[in-house]
Amino acid sequence: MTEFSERRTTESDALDGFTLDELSEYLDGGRSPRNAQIENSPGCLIALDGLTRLRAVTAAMVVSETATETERDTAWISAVLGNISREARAGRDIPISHTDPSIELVVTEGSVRGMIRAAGDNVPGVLVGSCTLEGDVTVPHEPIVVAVNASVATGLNVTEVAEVLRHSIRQVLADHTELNVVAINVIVRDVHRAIESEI
Amino acid sequence: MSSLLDLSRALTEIVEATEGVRKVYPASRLRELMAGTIFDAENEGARVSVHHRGGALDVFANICVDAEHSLPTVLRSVSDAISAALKSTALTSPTLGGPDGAPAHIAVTASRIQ
Repeated sequence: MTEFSERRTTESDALDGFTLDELSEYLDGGRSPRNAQIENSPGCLIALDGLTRLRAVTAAMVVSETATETERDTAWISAVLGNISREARAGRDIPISHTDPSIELVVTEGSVRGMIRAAGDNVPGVLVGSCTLEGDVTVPHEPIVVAVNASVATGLNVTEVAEVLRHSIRQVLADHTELNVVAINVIVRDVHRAIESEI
Repeated sequence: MSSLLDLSRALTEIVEATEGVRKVYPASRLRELMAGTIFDAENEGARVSVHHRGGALDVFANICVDAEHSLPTVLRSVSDAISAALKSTALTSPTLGGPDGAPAHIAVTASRIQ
C-alpha cells in the first residue's frame, strides 16, 4: 500500500458501513431523506447504480414469468446482489500514468468493475452476474483477463450477444483505463425470459 | 491563502471545475465520515485533502469521472490543475508549502465512473 492509498478506504470498509439491505431500503425510499454518508461514498453509489439497473430488469421479468421460473431466478438474483456488493468495494488501485513522478493517479478496481457491469447491463438481453479482473492490475502493462458471467434473454443468439458484450467491455476499458487486457472471457451461465425492452 | 483549510476549499473549486469531473468526494477516511466531521458546514467546501507529510505538501483528491470523458485524460487534467494552482502565488505561501515552500505530492483517485 502506498502512502497515498492509506488515506482511502480499505477493502473491509469500502461500503462505509452500509449493508446492501440498508442501501436497498434507501433506494426504496427514493433516496429521501438524503443520506450524506451514502451520497458521499463511491462504494455505496456504485452499489446503488447496480441495484437500480438490476431492479429495472428483474421487475419486468417477475411480471412475465411463471412461479417456477421466478423461484429459479430469485436464487440467481440473490447471487447477483451479493456480487454487486462485493464488486462495489474499492479494491485494488489501478495506476494511470503521468510524466511527473510526484503525481500519482489511480482508478479504483471497484469503479472499473462497476463500469464493466454497467456496460454489460446496457447490452440488450444481458444481465451481468459477476465480473472479475484477473492478474495484477496494480502493475502497469501486466496482462489482465476480464472474466464476466452473464445471463442472456431466451431467444437471443448467445454467441452474438456475447460478442457484443465483449466488444462493449473492451471499448470502455480502452476509454477509461490503461490496462493491458489480453482476453475478455464471457461465460453465459443462465438464461432469463426476454422482456419487452430486450426483444 | 491563510490556512490549509482555505487551500483545500480553493483546490476543491478547481477540481470541481475541471472538465469531466462529476463530483469531488470528501477525501477523508471512514472514521471521519462516520463521525460526521467532514459534513460540518465549515468543512463542506473543503473536500480535497491538504496536509503536511514528511516536509512536503500532500494533496489528495477523490473524484467521480463522467463516463463521456476519457478517465486518464480527466485525471491528468485534475492533477495538472492542482499543480498549476499550487504554483500560483495566490494559493501558496512559505508556511503552506508548495513551490514557495516544501515540495508537493499530488494524488488523484477516480472512485466512480458515471
